[in-house]
Amino acid sequence: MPKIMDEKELQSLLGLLIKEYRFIGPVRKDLETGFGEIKSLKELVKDYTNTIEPPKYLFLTPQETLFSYEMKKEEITITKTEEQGHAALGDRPSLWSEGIAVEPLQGKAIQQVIFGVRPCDVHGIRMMDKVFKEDFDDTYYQSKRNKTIIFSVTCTSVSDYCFCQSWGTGPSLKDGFDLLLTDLGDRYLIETGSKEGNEIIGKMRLRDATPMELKQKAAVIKATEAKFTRKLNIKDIQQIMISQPEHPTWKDKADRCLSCGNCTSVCPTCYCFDVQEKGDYNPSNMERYRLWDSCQLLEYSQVALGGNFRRERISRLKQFMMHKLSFSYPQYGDFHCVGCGRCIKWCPTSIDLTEVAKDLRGE
Amino acid sequence: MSVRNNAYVPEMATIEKIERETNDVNTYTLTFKDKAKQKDYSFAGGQFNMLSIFGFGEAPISISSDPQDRNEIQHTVRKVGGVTEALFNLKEGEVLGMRGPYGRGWPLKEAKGKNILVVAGGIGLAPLRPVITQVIKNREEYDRFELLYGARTPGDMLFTDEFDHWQKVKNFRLLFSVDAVPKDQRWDHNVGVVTTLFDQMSSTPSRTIVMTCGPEIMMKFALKALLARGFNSSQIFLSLERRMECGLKKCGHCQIGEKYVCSDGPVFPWAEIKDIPEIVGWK
Repeated sequence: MPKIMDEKELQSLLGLLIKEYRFIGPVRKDLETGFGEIKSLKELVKDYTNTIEPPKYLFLTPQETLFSYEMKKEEITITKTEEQGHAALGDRPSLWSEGIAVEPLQGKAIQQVIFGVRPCDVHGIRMMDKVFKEDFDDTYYQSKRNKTIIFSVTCTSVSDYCFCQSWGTGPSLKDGFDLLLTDLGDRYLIETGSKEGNEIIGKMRLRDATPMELKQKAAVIKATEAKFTRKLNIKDIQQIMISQPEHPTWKDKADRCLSCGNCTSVCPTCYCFDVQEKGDYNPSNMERYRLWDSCQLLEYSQVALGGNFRRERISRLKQFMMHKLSFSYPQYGDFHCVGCGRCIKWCPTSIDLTEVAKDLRGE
Repeated sequence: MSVRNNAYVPEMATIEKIERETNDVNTYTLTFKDKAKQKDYSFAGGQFNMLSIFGFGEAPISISSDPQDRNEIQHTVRKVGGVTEALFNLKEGEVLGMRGPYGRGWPLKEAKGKNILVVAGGIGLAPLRPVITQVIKNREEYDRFELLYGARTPGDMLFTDEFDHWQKVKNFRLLFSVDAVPKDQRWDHNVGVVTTLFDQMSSTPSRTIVMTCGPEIMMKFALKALLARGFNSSQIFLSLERRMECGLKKCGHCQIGEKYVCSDGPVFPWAEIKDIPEIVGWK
């Protein structure tokens, strides 16, 4: 049953979570808002539409050790793997200096809370969960994911880039969260979506939401829905995206693509990585690690003897957009696009996949 | 979580034997250090392992030995890049990492009772050797067998010491071709790319399964020639090469359209991939 809390109760809930868990939430990063570890409520940003980065980087870290090993003559020994307690390396020292899941909180299965995850990103996490589960378990992803509470917030604002409404992945959320907060103006509606969420809220003495307050939530969602300016027509999109690989819009966009890989870095459902070996002159200190990779980079499809299956920039751009809006569906039963609009916002040359889809549809 | 349950951590394997095939191709005979692992390990022809050369990295390499031989595993490797060059510096008795097998192999079950046509180019014969050894060992289960094999020069042909044995097998026909014959090498067979052998071949589309592996350009031409001769899209099987970092359907690199080459392939019936936008141009 959805509950009601006031500002003071919300503050005390967040305060408790900050105290008990590694607490990650929206913080100010220059002119933008991004996720960061929060030690004090004052750091929390409330007036944001979405974060720069999707929360995927908390589970698929930008760089992480797969295992360390020692090399002696004729003898190689695996010494440590990530889930046994390596500090994760990352590009954000403030967040990653301590690593993640290094010191388990006493007896707690859940170790971190991500607060302020938007509905689109919750869907992104749901899709990534499948990728890192299917056929082979990825223990590195799962060991972090399984220890995380997702605290989502219903959207009340919409940016020029948002088009989650077209997919039904926002601005509201039906499942995939542990906790979900909706701002009703002078009160908050809080819902739980898991046993862990129930346990957290169960400790607080909150009253049930009235039917009127549930109607208020619906009105908040409706008001948000009215704000969308960007749309993606998803009817037959799986076929439409691949039906005209020679359409001039591809060349038009590829001509100004810089192959920078921003689109894939900020995409909540991009998961590609490269695996590399790290060593120094001390053979007892060797490591195999993985780091994010991007299908937009030339080296991504390179094979031995100088072979490359996507040498042309246009072929790489097609791979990104066709994978998101077509190939992912037969692979996972999801289109790997949640309408967050980050790939459009952060493209230095304003390449817009909703525009490409429109062109291919002939609209 | 034990290391053993971690799909990314390889098992240790010993190089039992190194055999030189050509100037830049060696066959490595490997056994897992863990005897139980060796006993449990089984694979199908056409599948691959991820081989780790510690200090250098990991690469997908197809298995070239007999699937029924559970005592050892062979990889026939061409020296072409960082990892394979590092492998060529290892000696017998040294250790590398191995995990697998991964992927879908050749359709030997589907081929039962039928004719088999193998079209191979260069190192592409390596993943097809398990097919040849299996057909020889279980000769009565298959009908006619024909191999079209092409290489750059006579000196680049793999497994030449096994050709005599293969020639003698009942209902086996072998056709060889090379692109060029250097002055110091002797050659009694066809000269030209492997597809020039199609005019001499006796295989017909009737009750035949085609298996092909080689450079992509070779497979494209072989495919065209086969389709032109009336072979249909569900009787032609190709083994594709793509970059792979994991073999586990995670790293993303090997995708073509909706397919992961590491797990949906590397062997595909043409019917399954012919409509993928990146492949359509082959026809």
